Amino acid sequence: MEEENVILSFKGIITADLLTSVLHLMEAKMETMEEPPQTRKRVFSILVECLQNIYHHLDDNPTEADFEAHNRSAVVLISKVNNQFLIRTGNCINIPKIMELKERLDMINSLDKDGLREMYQTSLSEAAMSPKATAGLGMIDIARKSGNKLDYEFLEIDSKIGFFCLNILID
Amino acid sequence: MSLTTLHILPTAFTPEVKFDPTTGKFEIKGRSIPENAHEFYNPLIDWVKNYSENPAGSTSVDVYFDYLNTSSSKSLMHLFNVLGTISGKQVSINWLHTQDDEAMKEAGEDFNTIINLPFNIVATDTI
Repeated sequence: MEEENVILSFKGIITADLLTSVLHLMEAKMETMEEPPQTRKRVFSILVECLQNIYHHLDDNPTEADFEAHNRSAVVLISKVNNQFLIRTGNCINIPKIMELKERLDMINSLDKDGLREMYQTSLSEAAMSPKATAGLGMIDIARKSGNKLDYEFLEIDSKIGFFCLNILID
Repeated sequence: MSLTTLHILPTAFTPEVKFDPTTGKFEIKGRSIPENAHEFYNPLIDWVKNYSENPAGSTSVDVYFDYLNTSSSKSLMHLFNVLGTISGKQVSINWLHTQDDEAMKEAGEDFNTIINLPFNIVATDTI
C-alpha cells in the first residue's frame, strides 16, 4: 500500500520573501528527520531550484490582464511516499510558452546521466556569455540530482492560461 | 589607485567572500543559493575586473560551497572567465568539498570541464 506523509505544503502567491521562509522551514523540518545528510542535501537543493524556477518564471510573465494576480500563485507539496521524497509543484503558465517548455522537458527526459551532464555543461558555458539569459539550467539540475525522469503535465485553464504540474521523485 | 581587500560576511543564502589583492589569496566559502545571484556576484566580478589590470604575482582562489544553486553557478562561470583573462601571472582555483559530498564534487568537475584555468578538486574534512 502506498503511504504518503506530507512534510510541507503551500498554496499562494510566490514572493522572494516567501521563498526564503519556505526554504528555512524545510531545512528546519529536515533537521528533525532521520535522513542521511546527502539525502537531505539533495532534497533541499532540488527544492531551491523548483521554487526559484517558479519564481523566475512568474517574473517573466507580463502583468497584463491575461495574467492576473491569481495566476501568479502556485502550489508546492513536499511529501514522503514509501520512503522516497516527492516534490510536487504547480503553477500557471501562458499557453504560448507551453510548447517550448514541453520540448525542453522531453529533451531532458530522453537523456541518461552522461547526456544530462553534457547538456548541463554546455548550458553553463553558454550562460556565462550572457549571464542574464535563462539557460534552463535549473531543470537539468533537478533531473540530475533527483535521479529520475521529470514527471509533468499541462492542464488547460482557459484559452490563454495553462497549469504546469511537475512531480519530482527523489532517489 | 590600488584596490582594497574585499570582505563580505556570509548570510543565510550567500557565502563569505575574502579577496586580498596584495597576496592574491581569494576565498569564497559557505552557501550560495540566492534567487538573484548576479545581484550578489556582479560586484565581485567588477572587483576582479579591476584586480585583473594589476594582479598579484599569483592568484589562488579557494572555493567551498555546502549548497550551490544554478543561478550562482552561472555567475561563478562569469567570475572564473574574468580570472581567466589575467595573463602572464599564475591563477589557480581550488574547489574544496567535504569527502562525502558527491554533489559538490560533481559541480567542481563540471567547472573543471568547461573552464580554462588550473583547477584542483580537493576532498577535505577541514573547512
